[in-house]
Amino acid sequence: MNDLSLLLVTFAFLVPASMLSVEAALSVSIFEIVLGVIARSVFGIQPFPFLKLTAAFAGIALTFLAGAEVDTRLIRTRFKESFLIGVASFLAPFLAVLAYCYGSLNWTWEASEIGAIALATTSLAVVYAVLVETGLTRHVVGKLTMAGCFVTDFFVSLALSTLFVRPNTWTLVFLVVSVVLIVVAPRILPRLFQRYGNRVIEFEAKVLFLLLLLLMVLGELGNSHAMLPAFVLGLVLAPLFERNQNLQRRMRTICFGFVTPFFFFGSGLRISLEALAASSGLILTLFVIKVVTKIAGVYPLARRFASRGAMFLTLLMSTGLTMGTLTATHGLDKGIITETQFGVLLAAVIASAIVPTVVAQRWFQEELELTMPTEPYSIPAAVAPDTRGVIRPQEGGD
Amino acid sequence: MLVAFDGSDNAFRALAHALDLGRLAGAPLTIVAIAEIPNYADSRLEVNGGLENERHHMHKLVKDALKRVKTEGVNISTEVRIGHPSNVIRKMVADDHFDLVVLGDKGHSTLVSLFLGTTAYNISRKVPCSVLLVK
Repeated sequence: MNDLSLLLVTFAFLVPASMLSVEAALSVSIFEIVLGVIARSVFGIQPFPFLKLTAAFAGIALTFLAGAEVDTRLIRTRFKESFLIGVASFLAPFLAVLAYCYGSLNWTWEASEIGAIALATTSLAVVYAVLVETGLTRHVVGKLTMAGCFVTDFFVSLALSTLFVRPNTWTLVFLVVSVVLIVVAPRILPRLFQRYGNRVIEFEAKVLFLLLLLLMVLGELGNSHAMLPAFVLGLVLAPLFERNQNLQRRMRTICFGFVTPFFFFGSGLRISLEALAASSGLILTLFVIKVVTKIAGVYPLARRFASRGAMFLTLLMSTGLTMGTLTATHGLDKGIITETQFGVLLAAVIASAIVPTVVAQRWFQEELELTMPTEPYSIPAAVAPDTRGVIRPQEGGD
Repeated sequence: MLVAFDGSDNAFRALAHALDLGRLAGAPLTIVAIAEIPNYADSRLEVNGGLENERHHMHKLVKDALKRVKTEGVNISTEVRIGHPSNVIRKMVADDHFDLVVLGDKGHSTLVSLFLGTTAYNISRKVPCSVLLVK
């Protein structure tokens, strides 16, 4: 089959993935991964060049968006607590998984690092969905959880971008250009977008994509990874996104419509069901190590900073999805890990997205649905917890 | 009375029954439509986007529903809430002390109900008041 036919087949899977996600009220990324696994196992579909390229770009776009979602105000107001929780959330599982993979499984050192980073991640999106649903975005527990996630994401990006660097001349160029972009972009882009943006030409998306592709190319040339500068670039542009809901919506349409599905579907295509079945014990072990060490690292701090809801916060910090998938994919793309290792890590990451969330919601959420200390904090209008409209029988409308 | 509404045929039947009951008993009615957040999302964009779309959709749904039914003689209020239906209904009953929850016995999605039971069943298990399931 040529690439065009494979692209058709890809969309033939992506459409039902979207439908299933609506029916099940689950993230579309989960179904994209699952259908990718099915596409490979049942139909023998393999990643093809166009998909690989788009998926690689999607990974960086997702990292950029993760940075753009950081609430810098939140981190500033609770810096000490969020930094400590974030560091513990990253370091505890990182060291444990590194030791296990290298010491017990005899993975290579670099493969162990990939495993350690992938399982040290926390999923802000998974956490955020729970916090929005429960209204806890306005509570101390919710704020600390989100801030802790931001910090963990930062350390994941830092680790991935620095641990595997093989410096050459281009590495310096990459570093300099990254710093220049990060400093200059927040000063220039708002003016540029004001002049040329908000039109059908989607100028903003093209500019952002140009910057991300530049980072990717220089990262490749410099034997490094664009993840950290992409994350930090998103971080410094976060206020721009916060002020511009329209820009968020358009980025969402472009990314969810075309870019990110390739990333998740492509990840599924790289998983062998047979290898997964043979490694089920290992998947469980890695999952348990991740969750136990996250609890060991985060819970004492959570008790100190948010005594009520400490376990709820800790369990949410034990989740992982996008950044873990990105890390494992990077490892596979660079030949650092094998397809079997990739499948194992991805399965453990997905399990960590689901199980701790279910446990937190099932057993620890109700005790939080009582009055807790709140702080003034405005959340985006799009996600205000509820709205009320009184309609008299003779009237209509909102 | 609290009526859970998701736009399905069963939900319309439940709403019609609730309106009849409200008229007979002189009881006020609260209609709630619940915007569900995608679980295990891969980005906040997905959560916020899903939520924004769902809220608009639910608002429109309820507004259109009230045009299709006879609302005379009943004091109605409407709400759009965010979350999972069974948790939202449970919380609303606990907070606002509803005496009766009325809902259709099946909603739109059969996929989830195959694995996790119907929303109606989950709600009837969780709420401390009476529940009327309309078929």
